[in-house]
Amino acid sequence: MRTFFLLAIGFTSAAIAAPVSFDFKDPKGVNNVVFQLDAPLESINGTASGISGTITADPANPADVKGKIIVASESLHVPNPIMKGHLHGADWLDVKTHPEIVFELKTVTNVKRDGNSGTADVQGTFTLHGISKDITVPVTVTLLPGRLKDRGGDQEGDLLVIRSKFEINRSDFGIKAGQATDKVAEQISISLSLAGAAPKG
Amino acid sequence: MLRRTLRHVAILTIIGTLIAWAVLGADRGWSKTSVTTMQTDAVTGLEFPTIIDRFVPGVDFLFTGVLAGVVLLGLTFLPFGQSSNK
Repeated sequence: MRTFFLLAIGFTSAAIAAPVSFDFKDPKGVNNVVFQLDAPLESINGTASGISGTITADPANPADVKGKIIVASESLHVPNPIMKGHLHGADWLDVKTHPEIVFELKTVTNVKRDGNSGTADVQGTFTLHGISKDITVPVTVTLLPGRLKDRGGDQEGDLLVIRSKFEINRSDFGIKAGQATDKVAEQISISLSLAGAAPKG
Repeated sequence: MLRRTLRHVAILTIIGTLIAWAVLGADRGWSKTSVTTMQTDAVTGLEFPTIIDRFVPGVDFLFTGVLAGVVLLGLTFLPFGQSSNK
């Protein structure tokens, strides 16, 4: 697992000596999750924007990669208000009881690097609806050295862009397990688009 | 007179529903109160959603509107008040 370090940090230079932390709370509101479930009349397409979390890598110990991405359950949005009420309600996600959806990074494998970009498989613990499961997701990572200021702020720094697409089964997370499968599909397709910032100085 | 007025209202309801549904997007899904469009961030290249509050009538709106019109139209064929006219 020298891997995630190579992807997240190693692109820039070997001169970096301290752990580098990328903050994924994006003031520009670009970070998002898109989710999709098949349903009889039309697929249910939703988004979530309440994203926070940090990913930290230590150049001195490449195996030591820590971090998690948090999505505020309340930020999940679908365009139909009745459907949104059901989605947030106690029968489905129960956002009052489970206000966060969390992916906690554990290990990184299958790293392929191409310049400042790369792909890898990230193993981690995904917590949804209060249930945690270990899953593996493919990610594409791009480091944008010195591009933080281009986003309109005053601070110099780097950006780490992460994209991922994966699927989960709602029954694995206790969301109406084995129920309403004629109304909403079992599989949920999830697409992550995230940018983390590492200010310098 | 009332019967004729009700028929006009019923037909207007059906036609109005059809026109509103067609003009506001002819969406074949459920009605929506917001529209999500994707934009691209110039620096990161990430696509991100922008949500605009806008009503898009779906098939539920179409069904309800047409059904209301048909029920209203059907009522005008019931023999209310005919016995008193004889």
